Amino acid sequence: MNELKLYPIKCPQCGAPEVVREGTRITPCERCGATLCLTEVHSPRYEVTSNLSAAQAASAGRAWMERQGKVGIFGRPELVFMPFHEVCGRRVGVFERRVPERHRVYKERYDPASGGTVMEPTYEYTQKEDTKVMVADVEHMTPAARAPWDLAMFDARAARRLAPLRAFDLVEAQRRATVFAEEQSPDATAHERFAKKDTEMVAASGRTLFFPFWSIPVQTEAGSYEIVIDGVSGNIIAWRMPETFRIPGLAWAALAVPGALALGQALHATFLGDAFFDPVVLFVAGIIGTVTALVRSNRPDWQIRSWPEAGAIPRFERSES
Amino acid sequence: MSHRAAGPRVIVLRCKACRTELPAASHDVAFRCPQCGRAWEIETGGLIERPSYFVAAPSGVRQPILYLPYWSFTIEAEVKAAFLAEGDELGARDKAARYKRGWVAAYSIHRPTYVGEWGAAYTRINPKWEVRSGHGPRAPGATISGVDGQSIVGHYVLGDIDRKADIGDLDLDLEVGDPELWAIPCYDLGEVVRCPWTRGELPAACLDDLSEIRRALERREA
Repeated sequence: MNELKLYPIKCPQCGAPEVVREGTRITPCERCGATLCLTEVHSPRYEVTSNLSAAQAASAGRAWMERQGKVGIFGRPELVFMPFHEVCGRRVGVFERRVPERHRVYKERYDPASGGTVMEPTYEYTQKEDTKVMVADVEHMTPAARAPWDLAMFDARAARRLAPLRAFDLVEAQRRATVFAEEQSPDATAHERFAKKDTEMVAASGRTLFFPFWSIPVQTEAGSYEIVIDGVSGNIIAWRMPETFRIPGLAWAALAVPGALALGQALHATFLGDAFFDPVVLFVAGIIGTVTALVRSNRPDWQIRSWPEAGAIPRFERSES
Repeated sequence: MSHRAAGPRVIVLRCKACRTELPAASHDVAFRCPQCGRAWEIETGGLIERPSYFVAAPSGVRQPILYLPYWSFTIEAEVKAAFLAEGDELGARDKAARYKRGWVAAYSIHRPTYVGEWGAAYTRINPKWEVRSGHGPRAPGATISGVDGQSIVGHYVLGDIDRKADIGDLDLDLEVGDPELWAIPCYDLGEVVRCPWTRGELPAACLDDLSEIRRALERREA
């Protein structure tokens, strides 16, 4: 999907050969000046420009590491372009839905004061079939490739507003970055997402935006991990880092010993009947102690985290120069 | 991915009738010829002609006028039978009978149902316009196709009738005619554009190509 496509075309008016890039729809003929229009075009692709250099990305990552109280050796930051599909259009359709409807009904009730029956109003709720006509705007931005990190909390719309766009040149981009391939076209994304049984997308336009991310490898005593930084805002969007626990794994393993003793005591009391404590309490305490110890001591010393805590997000401050 | 042997089809954007070059922005799919006023829409086979009309600007107005493109369609809506309360049925019949023509804005608007789509308003109120054809004002190209406009205007009408009575209970016959490209004037007040008939205002920022449209019109007038 990611090859750079150049289409050779011929001006129908003067016959001059031209070469147009994928996504170009209207272009002037360089020889005769006629306005040429390509009737079948692929969706255009743009790159979201980044002013964040590798050094600035590393600096943002280092500041975050310091705030976390972690130590590591930073590797060379790698620029990664991740494709997103921006789909706009209008969704129209007619569909059935069920809406609740309230009816007032009267029921007979015995009245002890008069000794007879009185009619008392009450309400009954039913489901009513209703036909709904939909004409709605669609503006949707979605990742077009499976990223190695969780992008759920990356605000692509905000990043899109922060940075200008420029035409995406795959060959040039691949010289300086790793470029992820689109898994399908924007039209397919729009169809998959919005064209349902009763609705269709009309006046749809889609384009692919390549967002920059800095991936920084970090070497720590526990192994090699990475931090991912948004190339537009400088926010850390994902990381995989060692996580230290206040209580070491050995201490949790030590908890298993009294847990096992309590279990043994409970079993002894059940079968032989000479308990020092209540066997049920011993049994519950033993189970809790043993399971907690086993779970905590087997937990890895790192976790994949996709979004830092609110106070831990280092903000990139742009220098005036 | 396989390469296609044949490249995309290329057409010259030139009025087939008077050979004038058609003004085209990057997303335009239909154009009004600035010389003879004919309308042309891009189809896979080339340019096909659409009926073209424009609305005369209100007279005696000092504000700068900007013509915007709309798709217009004749509409025949009829409620034949219904299983509703009498009032609802009559309301729906009256409503359906009122529709004679529908419009859809053919220029790019950002969030049209939020900021207001004047085509939907014109469809509801059916303004009495002085409609002309032939050489007239210069107008930017349409960014949505006539077929898409046809689908949207049908849903405008259905939605409006549905407000009166549930269309699921109506035997409704709706026919939407072929697309016609209209140029309808509005006042260009800088930060907003104002409709002369409804007095509705549209922020200039939500018209995607307005700066490009203004530049192109000024250049041509100069």
